[in-house]
Amino acid sequence: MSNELRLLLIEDDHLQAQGIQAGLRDQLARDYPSVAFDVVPTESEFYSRFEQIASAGFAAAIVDVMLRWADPSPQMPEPPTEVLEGGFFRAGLRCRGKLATDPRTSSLPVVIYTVLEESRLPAGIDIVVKSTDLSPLADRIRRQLAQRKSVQP
Amino acid sequence: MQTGALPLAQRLTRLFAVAEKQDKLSGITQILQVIARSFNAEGCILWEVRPGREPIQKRELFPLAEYFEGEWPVGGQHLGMSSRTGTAILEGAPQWANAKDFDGIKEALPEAAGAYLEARNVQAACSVAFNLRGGVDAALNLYRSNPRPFRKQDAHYLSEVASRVPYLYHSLVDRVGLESLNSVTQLIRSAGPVPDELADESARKTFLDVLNRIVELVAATFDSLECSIYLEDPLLEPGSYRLEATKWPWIGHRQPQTYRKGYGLTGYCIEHQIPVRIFDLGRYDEDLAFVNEQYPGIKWSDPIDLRRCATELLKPKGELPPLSFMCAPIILDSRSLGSLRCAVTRTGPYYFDDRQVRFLCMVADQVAEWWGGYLSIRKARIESSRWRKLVEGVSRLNSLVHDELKKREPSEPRIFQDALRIAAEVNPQAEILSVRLVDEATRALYYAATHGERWQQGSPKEIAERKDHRYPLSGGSAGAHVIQTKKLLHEPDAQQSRFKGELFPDVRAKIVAPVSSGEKIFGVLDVRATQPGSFPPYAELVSELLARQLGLYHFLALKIQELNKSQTTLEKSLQTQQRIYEDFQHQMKTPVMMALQLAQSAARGFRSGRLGASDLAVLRGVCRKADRVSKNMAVFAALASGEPLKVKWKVVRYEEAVRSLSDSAEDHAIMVPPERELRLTTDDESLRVLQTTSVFADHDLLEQALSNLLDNAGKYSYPRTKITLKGGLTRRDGQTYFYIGVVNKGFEIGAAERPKLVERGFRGSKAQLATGEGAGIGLWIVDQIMRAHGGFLDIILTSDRGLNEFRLLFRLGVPKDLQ
Repeated sequence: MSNELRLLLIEDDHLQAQGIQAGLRDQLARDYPSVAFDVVPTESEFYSRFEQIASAGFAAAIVDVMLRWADPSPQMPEPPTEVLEGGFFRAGLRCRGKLATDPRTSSLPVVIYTVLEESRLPAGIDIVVKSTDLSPLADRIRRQLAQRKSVQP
Repeated sequence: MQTGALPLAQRLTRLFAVAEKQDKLSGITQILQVIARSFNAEGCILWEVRPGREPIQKRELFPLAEYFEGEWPVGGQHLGMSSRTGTAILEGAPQWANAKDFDGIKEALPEAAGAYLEARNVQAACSVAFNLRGGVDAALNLYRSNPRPFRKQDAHYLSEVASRVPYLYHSLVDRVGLESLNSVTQLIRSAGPVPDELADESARKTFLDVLNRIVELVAATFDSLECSIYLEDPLLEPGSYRLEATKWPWIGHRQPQTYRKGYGLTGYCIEHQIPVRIFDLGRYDEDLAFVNEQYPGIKWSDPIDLRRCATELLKPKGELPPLSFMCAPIILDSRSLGSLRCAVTRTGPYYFDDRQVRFLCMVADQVAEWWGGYLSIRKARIESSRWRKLVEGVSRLNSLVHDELKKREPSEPRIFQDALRIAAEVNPQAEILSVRLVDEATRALYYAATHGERWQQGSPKEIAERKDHRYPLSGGSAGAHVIQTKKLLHEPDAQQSRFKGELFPDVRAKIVAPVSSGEKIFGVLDVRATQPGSFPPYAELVSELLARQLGLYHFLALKIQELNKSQTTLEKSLQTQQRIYEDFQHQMKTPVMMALQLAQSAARGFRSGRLGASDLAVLRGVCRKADRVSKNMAVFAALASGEPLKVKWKVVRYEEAVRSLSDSAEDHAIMVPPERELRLTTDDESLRVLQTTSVFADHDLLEQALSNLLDNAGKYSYPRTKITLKGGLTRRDGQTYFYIGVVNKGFEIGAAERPKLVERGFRGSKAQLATGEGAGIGLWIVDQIMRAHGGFLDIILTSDRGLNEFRLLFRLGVPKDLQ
């Protein structure tokens, strides 16, 4: 078994995605010398790549809340009704919902990483508020991973 | 027969004594008997000139009554005015004839009369004229047998006696009439009010029994062969006057069971509410002009040959007596309730006069009181029940309306349907009901709700077409008229309607009430009937009341709809506001956080000597974004609180503009994910016009506007395309502007979408899918900034090459503030 920690990062801001990757690698380096990220920049890409995501064996997922549906292009994929109605404001929660309801990913620890205040989001989900300090996110991932390990046979 | 002449005083005393005892009109015969006997005469005839329009000389004399010893075989023989009797009237001088010249008198009489006189050896006659009704119009004749010829003294005495006859006759008519009236009053009083429930068999029998007794009484009083009462029951059969009681002697001939106003002599009396008296129906055709003079437009149309019937019944040996007719209207409060009529007398007096008509009218009044009282009570009871129903219905309707109006979208058709159901319940004659509302867009009335089986008749296509029918307000329909006048329209005879567009050609009565609230009119409530007869009086009130209620409900429903719309707008606005703040939070926190991260990282890089130019560029881009968001927030907050944007005017110089545009392009480029491969370029040369023209702007606001345009271009441009910044002069509406434009290739902008782009909170359907931030205020702020500059944001529709262009247009020259 490889020691590489594979994390799914759903984040549409490429600069933030870079920062999170760099920061977490730093923070988790002691426990996980090798941390690999798979960055998904749009909600539509999350759905289109879901089969791959479900079978990729990620240790955890870090999900931003406000995500664009797709990059602008003449052939933009058609969004489902809930996306048309809900817009980008809670796109990350929809992705989390998909991960939670699919049997292949339902046990995947998901951390919602957002600038929004916790009070604006539904209760019962794992939320870390974005900050310059990535240690709270790293700690949460560590704890999640530890919990997951303890419940696995 | 008595003999010997009596002194005049004695004759008169006896006459008065006998006259006073008479209690029937036929008592006139007794009076004539006393006169005959007091002159030792065989017989006495009271002749009267027939009423007519011809000169008196051309009319005839008819006996009003007569007395003869034994049986007088003739009855209604008439005399010409050229007879001795006629001469007495025309010349005003008594006439007598004895033995020799009596043959002349005899010849003037019908054959049967002559034979009778001969058998009785009557050979003398005396005739004196007198004033019976207001003019010398009557004569009293005596007939005597031989050997007692009439002399001058007899004629003198007879004149004296004749002058008393009018008084005796009229007082007899009055006395008998009053007695009869009294009897009818007693009869009605003892019968009590008309039974409540006439539909009930025994109650109806009691009622008819009273009416029949009245008929018998009247017939006996006037000794008429026929007497009938016709009454209208406005509830059961309005407009139809039905035979309720009759004495009908013409066996084998069916009596008219109903009359309508204007039909026949009876219908004429009912319609015009005046009594009708015809001297002789047997002479109707001959007297037509005279009858029409008295009763213009009257028409005798009863399908009966009265002359033949009377002949069969009376079996006269000579002429028929005048077949006299009189009819009195039964009226209460100016409303015709029916008629009471009499026809043909069996004995003298042979024809009705005005006095008798007057008494018949008085009896008719008694019947009117009795029947009218019942109708009034029944009407009051029914109206009370209808009003109660209405009140209950309206209360139920209010409750429904209350429930409906609580809903976000009240169902008006339900309310209208219920109102129409109530209108139909309260007014059973209403068969076809509807609510029509004005469609403000087309200025036409359309059916909002309908009620009644008639709406459902025909094929589905016919039903649909009927309900889809529209009435332009300029089209001359009854509904359009009510909308214009704002007043209720009641057409009791809709067949004669002057309005167009009636869907149901058999509609006979129609009420159209305005559905309004205050001065505002929304439509009409239609109530129509197809059965004969008009609506009851309360129908107008009911329609008006319900229409007002509907007007109020409609007004409330409209207000609620407006309120809901405002609420939805407000909710939407609040939602937009919430999203704007959430987005601000997101957009502010992210670059600040990143700037800090990058600054820390740069510091680490600087310390380790690994700090690159790209790191600093990213840091600058992030800072510009933070600055842009922060300024947008400030502008948003100022505008939201009603504070106008303050422009700090400064001249825009070419060099500064080039640098500013170039820096902006660079800073935004760094924020775009590299994989999208967007290129940002500036067309510096296009800005050179600034070197020759004077343009003023607030530099910060200009930079903010430009930054917002670039941010959008970065977000919405297709991959591997170019974003170009350029400037120059352009003309709009005859005026030259300096502009700075951002050209990109992205989602298409159509004409319909263009004005919406500057609305606060608007986001294009595709644009909102292509970004994970923003709340649709960027272009709104740009628009506000440009308005504050006295310029504007010009959005050029997508070109053939798929290019969009957003231009900031500035006026040339020194702004007014600085002048």
